[in-house]
Amino acid sequence: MSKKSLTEQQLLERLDESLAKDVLTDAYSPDEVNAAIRAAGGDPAALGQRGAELVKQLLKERRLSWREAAKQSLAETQSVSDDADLATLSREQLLRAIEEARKEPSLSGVVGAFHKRKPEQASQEELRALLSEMRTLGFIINTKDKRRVSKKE
Amino acid sequence: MSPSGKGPTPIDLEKVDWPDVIKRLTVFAMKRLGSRGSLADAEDLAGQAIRQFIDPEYASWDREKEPDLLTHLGSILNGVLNNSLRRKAVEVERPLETPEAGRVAADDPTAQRRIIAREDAARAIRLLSERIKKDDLVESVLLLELDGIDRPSEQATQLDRPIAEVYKARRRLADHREAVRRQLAAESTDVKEVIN
Repeated sequence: MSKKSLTEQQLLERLDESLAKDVLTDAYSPDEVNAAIRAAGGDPAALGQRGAELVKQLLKERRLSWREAAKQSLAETQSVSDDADLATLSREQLLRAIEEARKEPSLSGVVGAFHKRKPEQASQEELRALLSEMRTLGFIINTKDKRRVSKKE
Repeated sequence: MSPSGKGPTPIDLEKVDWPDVIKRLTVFAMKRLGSRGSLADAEDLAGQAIRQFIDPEYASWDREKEPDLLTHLGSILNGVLNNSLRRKAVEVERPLETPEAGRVAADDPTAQRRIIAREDAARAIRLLSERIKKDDLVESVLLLELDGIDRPSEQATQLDRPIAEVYKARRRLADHREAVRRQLAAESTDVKEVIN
């Protein structure tokens, strides 16, 4: 912006901002920065410490949020690829996979609640849905277990 | 540049001297706030700027455009401050200097605020110019600033002076500016006391 297009207020605001920026450079020594904080009634060491703790906390939160997002994305990808896999399985293969999943300890006691009838009596479509649900449930249980372990650590 | 030559070297945020950064950012905020806020407000602004910087939901740091971390944080802080000032439209109670201002303000409080701010700014520049009349270098720096040349390195080139000297002159200018700010604030308080 040229000088003519600015009001006095804008010029002054720009001047204030420009002069204030010097404190963000080596033009002000650490001692001078501390003195400015003391002059305003603050404790430079305590203020610096609070800031460092805030950053530590924020960086930790960022790391955790990245991990959560990655887990979610992995779960979504896994679910999509599982569904694609299931479409290619024959009735025999589906029955075998369900039998395998039933042996998974984390799913014991839960599998029975899916359907009242036996897998052998279900249609191929129902078998696919059952296996997909079992896999998803298994993934969720595993993720929860891992979270519980990492919390304990 | 990074070892591959593609963009700046990544910065390890765990190794930044954060106590120094937060202190400088807080003093920067104090200077930007002036009489509009306290040290606690300045520290809060510095914290908000750092929060935005680290929060992945906000725009990431373009180090090609702005390689210096502190300058980048200063820009974020300016954004936070400007948003906060826009939200707070503080009602200033004091008589106006010109009859025109009085007429306009009677009908429109927003216009009243605008006129007061404009009058204050014009007066601040007048007072500042008077205060630095005998310091040639400071006066030159002010003129360059008002002309939009605000980088100290560029000012040093224009004035053919060492940059350290320019920084000292800028410091003197900042001290005068602060004195003018205090003078205007004191006058405003006096007027309020007379009214009340």
